[in-house]
Amino acid sequence: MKRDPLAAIAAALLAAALLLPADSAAAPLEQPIRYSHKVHVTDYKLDCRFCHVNATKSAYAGIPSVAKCMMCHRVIATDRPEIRKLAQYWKEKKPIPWFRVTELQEYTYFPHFRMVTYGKVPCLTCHPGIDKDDIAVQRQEFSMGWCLTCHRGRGVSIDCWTCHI
Amino acid sequence: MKRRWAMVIDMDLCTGCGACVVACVAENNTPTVGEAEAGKGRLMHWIRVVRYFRKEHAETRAIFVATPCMHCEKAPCEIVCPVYATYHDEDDHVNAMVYNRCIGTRYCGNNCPYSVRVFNWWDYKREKPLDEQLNPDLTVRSRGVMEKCSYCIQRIRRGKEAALKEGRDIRDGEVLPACAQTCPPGAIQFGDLNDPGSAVSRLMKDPRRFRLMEHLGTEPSTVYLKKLRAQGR
Repeated sequence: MKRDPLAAIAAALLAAALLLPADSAAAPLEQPIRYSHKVHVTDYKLDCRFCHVNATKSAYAGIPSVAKCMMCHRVIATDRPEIRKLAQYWKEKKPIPWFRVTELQEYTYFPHFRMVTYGKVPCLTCHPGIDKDDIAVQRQEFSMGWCLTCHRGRGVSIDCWTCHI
Repeated sequence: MKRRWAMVIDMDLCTGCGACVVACVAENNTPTVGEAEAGKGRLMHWIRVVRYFRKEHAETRAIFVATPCMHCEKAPCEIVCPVYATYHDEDDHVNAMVYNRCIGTRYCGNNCPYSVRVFNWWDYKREKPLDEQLNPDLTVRSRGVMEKCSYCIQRIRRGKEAALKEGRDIRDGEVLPACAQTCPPGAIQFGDLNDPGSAVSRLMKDPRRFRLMEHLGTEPSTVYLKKLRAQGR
């Protein structure tokens, strides 16, 4: 059967569009250090909460301090150029000016510890695919409908004031 | 766990100092509107101290009525909102206001018999460095949005979170709104009516108790204790 080449191309494009993750991931940010979540989480099996310690006890997960990075990187991979950059920040006693990747609307209160410690929600529910990222991007758009789907499913509060005050 | 927050204001203890107003402004990111706007009756305070003067023989006595939101059980403001921006919070039994849902019809403010709802007529700018004193626990409201006393819902939530972390119930007196915390003579009491041992539950049985505009049937959660009157006071 002879196939129309144009139709084949269109089908291929359609397939590509469908196969690509159906997300609206923003363009990756150029961070001061090319930190890879993939290397740390997927390759070396570090727990998210090893670095983002506050996620279990505070509203904000937080970004680890340079001291936290240097706990390991004083001895691990010290010759790599990106680790040298890290060591430079350590030497100058300066924080790393990371750019924020995951943004939540400022009229929304999202206590991380409530989800992580008491709701037992896995980190990847809201941050899908970040464990496979060489450069972190936000893949999940935090719309209210998306939040509510999970809240309804778990039978937890869907009161307006739970998240908006 | 369902709670029924209530406030008891003892008018006999209130000296009308206005510390509650200042504390509320600081806690709740309430804008300072300036003289011109205040002249138009657009003050944004969530609690105000109303003064009444009574002439008794040679002297004039002042009676102060601190007026926050009454958090009515049958709230007149809730039923008129066309977009359900104000509704009754079933978990805490307070009258909730959702700023990002509000479209600014001001029906609620018109229907409030206590006039405790205030409207953002403008985006009130905070000069540097005053913007750094904003409370990060709650939204900074923008223009065209109605707002009112929330019984410091952010503090209630902090209290709940602290209790959750320690695996216990909220203790009486642990959660206090800014006005109650700051009141120098301790005229404002706050607590949970569902807890029979709480201070407000006891004060609710006080014979001096009354409610503002009780005849309207709004069933306010904020109640008052009448001023005692005696010779020379």
